[in-house]
Amino acid sequence: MAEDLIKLLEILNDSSGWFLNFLAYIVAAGLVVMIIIHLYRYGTGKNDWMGRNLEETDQGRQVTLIQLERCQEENDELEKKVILLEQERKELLELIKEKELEITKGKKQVNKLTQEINTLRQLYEELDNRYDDETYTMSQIMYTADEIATAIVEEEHFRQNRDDIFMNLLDYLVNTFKGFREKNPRCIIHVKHPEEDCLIHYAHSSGHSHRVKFYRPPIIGSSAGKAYRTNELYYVPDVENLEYEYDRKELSRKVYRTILCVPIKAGSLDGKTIGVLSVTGTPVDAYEKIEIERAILFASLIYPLIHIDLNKRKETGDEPDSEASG
Amino acid sequence: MNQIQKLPVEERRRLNRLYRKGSITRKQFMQLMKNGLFDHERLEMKRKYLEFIKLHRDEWN
Repeated sequence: MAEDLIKLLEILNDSSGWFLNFLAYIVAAGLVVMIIIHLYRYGTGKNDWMGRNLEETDQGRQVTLIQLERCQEENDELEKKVILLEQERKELLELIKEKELEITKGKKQVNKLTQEINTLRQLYEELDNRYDDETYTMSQIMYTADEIATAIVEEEHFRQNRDDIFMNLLDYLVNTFKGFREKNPRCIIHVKHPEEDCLIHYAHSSGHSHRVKFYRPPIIGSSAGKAYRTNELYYVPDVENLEYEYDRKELSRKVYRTILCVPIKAGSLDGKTIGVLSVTGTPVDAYEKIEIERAILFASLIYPLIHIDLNKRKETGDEPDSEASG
Repeated sequence: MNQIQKLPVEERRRLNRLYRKGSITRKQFMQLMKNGLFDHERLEMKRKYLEFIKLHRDEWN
């Protein structure tokens, strides 16, 4: 077999000089044609310079393009979502701001309401204290009325204990004033002197010295005299103020700056004033309106007792003047 | 309240003396003098107020 093949090759070698040349031409022509075809295909864009088929690459490209389009679409969708989410984020931020504003507003309202509640609580406490004071005053009025009635009924006992009874009655009034220690309220009752143009001592509350009995306020030129003269309440918030009518006695040891003078009269009847209830207080402008009104009320309460007593004493000749001057 | 519990005269005098001496405060004097008189409505109102405050104290704080 091998020998046959070698023989064939030898035959070909001997007789193929023209054939090899022919084959070489054929191969060269084929190569040229192939180069032309390659250049043509490259020139027309069917191949790349390496001879790779571009049509097949286009299919790959198409697939890539489709994928790219899908990716693009997905990207677009995602971008839209991002835009939407961004909008939502902004809306949420705005909502948060609104809520924060609402919370701030709410907190302010809560603070305001808390303050209002505290104010209301303080007002209630104050109101309760005043209510407490009023109910206490009512009890003092009741006891005053009780003791006046007893004094009217038990004439002899009253006659013998007049000073003590009046001291207690006036103490009821004094005790209705607030700030007892600071104001040091003291009361005196003066009645008209039977003959002279002045008032004379009738009774006083506790806290006075016996010398209080000897002072006789003039009808003109004293606060009590003015109240008696005019039948009207006369309130002097500061006795050192020269605008007010007040008896500024020399060498007087003043322990008060305020004086309140209330006429003791029968209701609103003119000319029926029988005396003056004077209340002194240590500080300037010592008394509130409610305290002044209480003094008016007590002056009305004690009127009947003084009225009856003065009439009795007039009948018996035991008028206050004789006691005061003694 | 069928009967008013008025304080006897001597007790009133005693309280007056204690108040003037400074042995008792004005608040104590007032409560002792009143002995509950004229005070029922105020105390009832105060009881309601204190209950209300107690009920809402936690909310307010």
